[in-house]
Amino acid sequence: MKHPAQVIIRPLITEKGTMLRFNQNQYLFEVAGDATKIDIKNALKTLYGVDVLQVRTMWVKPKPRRFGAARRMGYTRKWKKAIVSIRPDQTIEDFNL
Amino acid sequence: MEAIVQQLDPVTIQISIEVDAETTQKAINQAIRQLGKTARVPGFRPGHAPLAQLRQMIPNEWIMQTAKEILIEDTLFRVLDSHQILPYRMPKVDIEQFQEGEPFRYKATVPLRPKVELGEYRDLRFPVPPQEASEEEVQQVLESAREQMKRLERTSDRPAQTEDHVVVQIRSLEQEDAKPSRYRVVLGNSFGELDNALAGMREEETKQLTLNFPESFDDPELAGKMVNVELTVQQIYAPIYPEIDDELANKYGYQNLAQMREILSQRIVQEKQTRLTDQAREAALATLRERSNVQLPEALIEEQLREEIDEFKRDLLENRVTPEMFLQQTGMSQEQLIQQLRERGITRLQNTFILLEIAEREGIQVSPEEVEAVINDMAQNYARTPQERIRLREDKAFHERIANELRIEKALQKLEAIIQNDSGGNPDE
Repeated sequence: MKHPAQVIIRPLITEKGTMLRFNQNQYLFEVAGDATKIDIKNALKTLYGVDVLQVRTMWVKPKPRRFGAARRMGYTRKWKKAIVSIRPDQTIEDFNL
Repeated sequence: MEAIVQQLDPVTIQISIEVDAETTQKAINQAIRQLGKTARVPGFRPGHAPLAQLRQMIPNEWIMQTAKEILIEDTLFRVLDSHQILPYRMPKVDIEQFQEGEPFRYKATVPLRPKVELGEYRDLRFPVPPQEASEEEVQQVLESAREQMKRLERTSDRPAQTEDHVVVQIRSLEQEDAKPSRYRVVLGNSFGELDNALAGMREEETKQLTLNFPESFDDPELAGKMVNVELTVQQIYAPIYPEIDDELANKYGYQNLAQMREILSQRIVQEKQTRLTDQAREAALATLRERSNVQLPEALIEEQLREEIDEFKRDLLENRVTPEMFLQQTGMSQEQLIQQLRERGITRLQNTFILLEIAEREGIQVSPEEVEAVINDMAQNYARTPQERIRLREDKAFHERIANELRIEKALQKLEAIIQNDSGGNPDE
């Protein structure tokens, strides 16, 4: 089994994520590409001690990017995002900066 | 909010204000929001990041500085309003305590308008009697005019005498191969030993002697040293002075000598008159300062002191002297100089407010048209761009300042009329 810190790569703090957090007690994370929903649930339990109600994941698609003056085209990396619902009476400290 | 208002002296008020912790916190949050309006936080559109994120992104000093401004703006001016205190200058704020979660405490020192108890000025008399130019004074000016028109003529047939320009070669005998250098010396204007040695020498004549060169001598090799030298006079030029006659007057642009004398004597009279009038005015103001009681707030004195220091530095700069050089030459310490400038500043402020008070009592008015005229004149002559011109015309504070200056000027004229009136009565009657 993967170590929890290898599953959860970083918490995502964005405008949209802040809204979700306040309104639905949902949290956003970047997670490892091979992490399953179960992995994420377990990892959060170990890392933050919270009970996860639901995990939804998605691949964020690579976006085309131009590099340098030579106008070489490339893409940003693809990464996996997880939207996690937590039990309403719990919070994750990392987000309360 | 609690405020304690204390009168420190007749022209200074101190306000101690304490703002409770809750209001302080609110102000800090407001400051964060205000600063966050333009902050770019990754993941958020500008202005949409939550406080907690902003708090991390924005340097704490900025937040506290802004919060401080918000709080002072909010509380100090409210207190000033409610106590009907009209600050004459920006209040000086000393923070005593300012921390998150604690009450905010500060002291504000508020300068008020200077108070003037004007002494009696209507009986001041410093009359300047009509001046005359004496024959000698005119002659003196003519002599110096003649001096300026002198020319030099090569004179080979007589020895050098005082006022002659002598071209002399000086060779040091201390070293075998010392190079001789040529100097042009005005006899009587160089240093005593050289003057004495040259007097009476003819062209081509050579003399060997020991000279004690002063520190100020041009050649650094010789300056400040006792040197055995050989002097060779190469050329002698004698000054030829023109006669004081119509021709000289012509050179200065006058029709003839009589006219020149006439105009010079008028000019002398005018200069004397101006000088004496200035002195009389100074004396009158000095007396008036003694008779009056002018109370100036410290903040105003400090502001004036800064101006005096700037002015002083500018003056020095014009003469190519650095402040350090000045202090060294006069042997004054920096504190003494500042004390002196401070006193000068106080005198000027006292004069200003005494004259403003006189303007008040005499009912001296400055019409908007007069101010307009001065400002238009300035706009024409000094403003470089049209925008600047418009700004000058629209700046209310600037108008007020010009009006004040005109008022002072008029009061000064009034005072001059009073002190010049030698009949002893009221000049209005």
